[in-house]
Amino acid sequence: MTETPGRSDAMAAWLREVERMTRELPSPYRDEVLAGLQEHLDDARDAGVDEGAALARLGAASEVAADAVRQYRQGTGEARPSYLTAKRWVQIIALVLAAAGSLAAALLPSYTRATVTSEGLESITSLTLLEVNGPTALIPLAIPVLLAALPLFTPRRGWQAASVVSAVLLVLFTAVAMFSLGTFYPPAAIVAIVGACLPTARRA
Amino acid sequence: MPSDDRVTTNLRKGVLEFCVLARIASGDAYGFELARELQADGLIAGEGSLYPLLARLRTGGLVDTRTEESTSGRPRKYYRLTPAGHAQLAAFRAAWVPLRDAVDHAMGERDD
Repeated sequence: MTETPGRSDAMAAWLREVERMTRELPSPYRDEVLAGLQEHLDDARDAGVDEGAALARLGAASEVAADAVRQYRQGTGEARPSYLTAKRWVQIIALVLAAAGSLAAALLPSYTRATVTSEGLESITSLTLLEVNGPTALIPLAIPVLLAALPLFTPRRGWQAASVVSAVLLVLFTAVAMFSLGTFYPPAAIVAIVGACLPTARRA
Repeated sequence: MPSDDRVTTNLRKGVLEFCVLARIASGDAYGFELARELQADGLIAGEGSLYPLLARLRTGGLVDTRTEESTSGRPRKYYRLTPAGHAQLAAFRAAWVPLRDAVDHAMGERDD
């Protein structure tokens, strides 16, 4: 939002409050509502209306935000914002890739054991992570899966924050895993980054 | 039982968009003046609730906007009715009069 000279802190705070509470709406619709409210406040100031009175007449920011959500849903015939947006789909793909990475890490032979028999013959056997470390190996393998699942199970309000946290931690885990488990998680981490960058609402 | 306020709020919600369309039909208007008039007529409680409605009407193609300079030199958005908006308003008028009469009649019967 651009700042206009002459708009007070109280007005800016009120507008920011509406902006914050309508984050789930697509930006063209939300921007139009906010632009209308800004213009209204500018017109009120030009008409010599005291800023406190102008804000009081607009109503509570929470009520205006609730109206914006209600009108948007009425306009689109949407009972409530759809769960499956493009961002969700990308995050579901990240979860599937993380699970596939953990499955591969658990079941692909990644250890070799050389045994020398009494006859002096050497035999080399390949072993998986699970065979070598037992079920406790499942604990580190669960971490990337849980990280990728985090944004999918976070309420809409904290969705974007959870998406960023999930992507950053997945990248860190992928880096650490490359020196221990192997290169199993870069695809999941890349898709999680894409997911975190996508908007939380669909563009109208 | 809904309170008196709740009844009024719900009734207003149902008719507000048509009152806005009717007002714009009588002459292009900008947000601030529309809000003032609607509040003075008791059709909206807070002036802020007008803007989500205007955004929906514009998205729905019932109104469109043109920009003109205000007296202080700022660009100001004027709303005007589209043909679809006129059609919607005509449909409301056709439905409203018999409905209003029916409600008046029903209320009259209860009050007697």
